[in-house]
Amino acid sequence: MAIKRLSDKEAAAVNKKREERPAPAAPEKELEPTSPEEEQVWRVLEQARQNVKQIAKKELEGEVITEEILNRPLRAPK
Amino acid sequence: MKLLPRGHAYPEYGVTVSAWPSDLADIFPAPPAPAGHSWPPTQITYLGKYLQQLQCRTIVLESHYVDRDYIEDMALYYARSLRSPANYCQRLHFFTNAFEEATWRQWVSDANAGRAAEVVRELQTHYIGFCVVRPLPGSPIGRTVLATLGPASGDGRIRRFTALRDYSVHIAGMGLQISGLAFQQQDQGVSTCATTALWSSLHQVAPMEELQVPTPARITESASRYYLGEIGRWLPSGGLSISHICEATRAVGLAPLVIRGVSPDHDRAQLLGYSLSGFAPVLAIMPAAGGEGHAVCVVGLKLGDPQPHPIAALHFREAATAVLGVYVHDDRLGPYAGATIVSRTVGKPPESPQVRTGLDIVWPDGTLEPAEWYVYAMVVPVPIKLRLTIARMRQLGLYVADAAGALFPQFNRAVTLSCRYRRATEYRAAAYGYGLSDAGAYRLACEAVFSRYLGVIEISSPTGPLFDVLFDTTETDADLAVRACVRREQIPDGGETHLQAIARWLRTTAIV
Repeated sequence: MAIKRLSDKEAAAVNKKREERPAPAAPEKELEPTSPEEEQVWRVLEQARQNVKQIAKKELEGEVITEEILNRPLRAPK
Repeated sequence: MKLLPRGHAYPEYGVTVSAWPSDLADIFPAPPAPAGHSWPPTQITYLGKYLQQLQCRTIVLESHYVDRDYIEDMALYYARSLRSPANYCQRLHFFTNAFEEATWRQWVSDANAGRAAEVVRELQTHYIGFCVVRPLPGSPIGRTVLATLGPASGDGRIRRFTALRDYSVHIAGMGLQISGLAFQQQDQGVSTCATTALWSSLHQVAPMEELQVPTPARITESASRYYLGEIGRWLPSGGLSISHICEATRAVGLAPLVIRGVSPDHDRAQLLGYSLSGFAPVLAIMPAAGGEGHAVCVVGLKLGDPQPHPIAALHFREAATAVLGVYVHDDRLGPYAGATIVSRTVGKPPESPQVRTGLDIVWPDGTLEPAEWYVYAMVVPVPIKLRLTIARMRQLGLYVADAAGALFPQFNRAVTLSCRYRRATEYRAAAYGYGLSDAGAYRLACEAVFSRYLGVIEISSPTGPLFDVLFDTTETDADLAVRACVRREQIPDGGETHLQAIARWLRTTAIV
């Protein structure tokens, strides 16, 4: 497929059209708790998220793979 | 002059029955080698000790057996040797009952008289596996599938073999089954430790995806097709690196998941998650004192009780703290070798010392292997669509478990976090026992869209499971992959309201 080269006038028209396009939909509104019980559970969940923040970070340490790890020969004698 | 009749004769086939010998090595012919050559190989000694533990009483020998793995090794490598060995093997079958050749002959007559089903039932009751014996003088132990020891390990711990499958065996036209995972000795011609560890692992995983298990020859060939790296020539095999293991895994149609060894806590969680999911991780282990690396295949776990969390502020326990050891196929020893997990300090100055996951490999008689190993990395062959790792699911699971511990104080911080994969079909079938309402059961069975492999965070109490969080494992971000929160049998009264709130927080639905 050949790429069509636009003249300055055509390009300006395209740009104008883009500018006039409606703005994208607003991001989904933050969910709100629907009852005091739910609010309480959510508070506990948020607190729990803070409690485990440091140990959760360490979870992904095992996914950091280096060339040295990949290339280390494994050949213990029989 | 007359030429010798080469290639005219067929090999002979015969079945021989003999009682368990005082030493298994006695039935293996020693190769012609100068004094000082080590015989018997460690693997034969190990096998003898292990079969004694299984209480083997009788051995049945098939004198001619064509083994798919060996014949490919033969075609790729041994056919070009001056002392070309035969292209067939012998096979030993092991039984826990004592019988003689006359009984065996009677059974064949009984089968011929229309009582084959009874004979098979009798043989099956006492069958504990087989060992293919290759015509390779220094490394005779070929494909070997043996039964496992029972779940009680004798010290109050539980043996849980997680990577077992059924193998069909035929002898004298009678079909038997054995549940185990294939093991074989490295021959250092076609395969080394990493080849055989990966081969064992693929024996478990490839059939899950209906893929053919590659032979050791094919593994070596595909591993070193594009890149030799530090291993030098590919035949005789100079070993594999983790890159090679990845390449061979990819060639089968699976994805290699590489996880670096970090610490005992981290590695235990990974081992538990992947093993409970039915995968067989290949462990790359290194001697703490330095030297060549080694590879073993994990086939099971030794479990104790989950321990309280060391951080007093947290309200849950890690199921992974129950992992006290692993059972491995170690091709220098044999199948199902026990290895205790210990904390091991690694790194000599100027490197800063690190506490890593040590493995103390134990012989069946309790003797400890002298080398002090630690887990350097693990490679888990997984189905290619499985992308959400255990580590990523655990990041979310950690705070859900902590919240559950706080929301259910009656369990006194004994709420436990476990994480694994389950087939969606298997999960749906099992869910009929979860105590769901009819609407919940219908929703789970007939309305929920799931990936083939579900990620499952299981939150449980000492009396049983409380609830599960299910993930779509074709995603990579756990936060965006939650599919449902499912009520389980032991959720306490009023717990369903908490579960509904947790599900809404996770932007998913609760199935209760």
